[in-house]
Amino acid sequence: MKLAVVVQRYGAELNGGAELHARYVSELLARHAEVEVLTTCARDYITWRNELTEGTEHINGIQVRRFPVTKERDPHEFGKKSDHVFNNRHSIAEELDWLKAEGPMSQALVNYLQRTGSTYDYVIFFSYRYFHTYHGIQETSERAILVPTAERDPALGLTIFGSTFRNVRAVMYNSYEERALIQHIAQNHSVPNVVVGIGSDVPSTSDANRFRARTKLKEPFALYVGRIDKNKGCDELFDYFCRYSKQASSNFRLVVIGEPVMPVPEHPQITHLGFVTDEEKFDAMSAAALLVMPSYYESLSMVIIEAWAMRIPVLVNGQCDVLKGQTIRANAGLYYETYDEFTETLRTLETNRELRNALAVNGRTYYEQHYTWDVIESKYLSMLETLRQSDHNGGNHRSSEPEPGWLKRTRQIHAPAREIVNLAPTGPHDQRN
Amino acid sequence: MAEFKIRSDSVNVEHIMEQIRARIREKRGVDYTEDQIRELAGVKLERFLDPKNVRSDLLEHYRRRGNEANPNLERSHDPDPNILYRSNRPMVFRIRRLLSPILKLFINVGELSLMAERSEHIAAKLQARAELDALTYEVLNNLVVEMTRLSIEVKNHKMRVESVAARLDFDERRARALEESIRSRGNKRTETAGDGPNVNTEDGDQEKVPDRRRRKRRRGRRRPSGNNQVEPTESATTVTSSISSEKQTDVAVDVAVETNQVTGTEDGNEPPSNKLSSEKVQSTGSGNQTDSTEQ
Repeated sequence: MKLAVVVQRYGAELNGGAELHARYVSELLARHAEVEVLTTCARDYITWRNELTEGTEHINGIQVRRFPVTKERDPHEFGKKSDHVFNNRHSIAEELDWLKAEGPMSQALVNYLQRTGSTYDYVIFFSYRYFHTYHGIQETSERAILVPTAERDPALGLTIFGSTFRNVRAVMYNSYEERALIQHIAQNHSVPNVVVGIGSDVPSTSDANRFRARTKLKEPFALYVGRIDKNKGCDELFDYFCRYSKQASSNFRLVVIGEPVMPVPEHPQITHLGFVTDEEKFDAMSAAALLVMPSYYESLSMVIIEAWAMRIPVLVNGQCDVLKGQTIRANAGLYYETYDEFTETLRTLETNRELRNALAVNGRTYYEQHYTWDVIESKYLSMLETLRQSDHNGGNHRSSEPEPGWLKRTRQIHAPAREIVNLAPTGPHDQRN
Repeated sequence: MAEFKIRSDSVNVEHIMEQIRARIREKRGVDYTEDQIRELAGVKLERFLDPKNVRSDLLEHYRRRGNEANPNLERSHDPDPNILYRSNRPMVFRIRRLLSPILKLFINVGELSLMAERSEHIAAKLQARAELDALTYEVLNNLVVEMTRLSIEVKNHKMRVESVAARLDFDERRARALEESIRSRGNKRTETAGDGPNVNTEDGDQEKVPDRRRRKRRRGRRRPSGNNQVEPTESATTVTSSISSEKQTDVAVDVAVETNQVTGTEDGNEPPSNKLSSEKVQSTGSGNQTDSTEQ
């Protein structure tokens, strides 16, 4: 079987969610099929500047083919167009303009898919919202598999993506909430799908004492791992934690790991360790009392899965449907939506060791049932096998939706994307597959 | 969080969250959302209650308008027939007056005049009523504003009472714990009193006292009350019990000082709760001392 994995950036040093996800899945599937990665020369996700060499290279045994980005992103223009299509009545032509402004716009990659798409058995696209995904799926719809990595953000409400979700052969969702959201907006219930997520490998040699010796931290602490960014809810986390530590007169600490995009407040009980190696990260996890995840928008939190694998409970932002749903299904953490809830839940987890242990046990069980690589691998292989069976039975000869014509593209009849997403149901979703 | 009964195989996160939310509701009294509370906290009552628009003579206005709104519509006099012939042009008025006998042949001018007069009264009444309504609205508005202010104040007071009650509860528990600690340490010292240095008591007997300096200080402080002063003629047993109780007082002071050192603020100011607990501990120590002395 020959597979293509299409993703906006690819590299061993890239830690972005969808990109890392794509790399893990590529390396996983490479054991069963011939896998080629099709990506761009961009490294920076803000500008999509061409920084890597065009052409073919091998990363961890996978062949990677890079295509140049035609145009760098102009953040100002992108912001203006986003504001228009998200908040105003607009046309499909304006949505397509937005897609180009967002980038990475690599016409060469789309052309390559148009030329050689039929040489692959299946083409797996990561992230629904990019130029190459939209146009690439139109070129290879009869063999396209989509891993949407969608969050509840306004882009999901754009009309053009409805056909993206409906035209593929299969969708590999990250969570039940993501599936419910996309199916509500795109009405793609008939497309074969499965909730997969991503696996996680945790080392068996992590050492809490090593971490404590290195950092000289003796007090119990909550751990945050990830980009320190307002978009990840870190400003709220810092605010809540500072108020909590003042109010509770507790010696409980917050340890923060990750690259800072916003300043970390100077506080005696907040320790910022910056970017650390995987070994240090897992050492920190084994020493932590709990992991905190304040993000409002997640399609799947890998770090939460790692935390459960490391047997620590989590405290998540309950306003993120995915995090809340995962936590409830796993019975392996608590969630908060307000400061009062943050205080009470953190105090509960801080002071109740028995509860922490029980949640940790549940988290580990949930991880073993759903997020070990064996489980992920079997779900991917099972889906590929189902599609192959369907191909043998002539199931791939369904007609995909054609691109809208000029008149349809120019009519200003489409509702603001934000409005459409806001109308979608919220809250954790039942575990039905 | 000892109230949660945990079984690792049957943890229900949603149930725990319900318990946590119930506890938050109990604390708050009312289940406001965070946004609502922020909004309430940010509201300035002056936005509604503009002092410039509140009339100081509101009652006077109210009474006057009230009278105007109820004019006497009784027929006190014959209606003025000229009301029908009125005009801005005197010439027209005169011609109408001249022709009035002819008009009287066709209609009852007197009744018509009465009706015209009444309609004028009714118009005046309506206008007065409208002004009265404005005043009533103003009064109602002020009442609502005051009610809002009071309800917020009541809520604030409730929260303050809860906070004070919680602090008081904490201080009481702390005082009790310190008392226990004092008792146990005092007992230990009493047991080991024989190991201390020998000192001469005023009646010539020798006693073991661990800290001579503190003993003097504490005695000096107690003298004004006169209750605990040891007379030179007292028996050795009485003196021993007195010394034992002094040791307890010293321990109480030590504990209080330690507590303040531990919980004191960085600038050295003692928090009110610590002061309270220190005072309590001292007074409690004195009480014990008095009791033991009396014994």
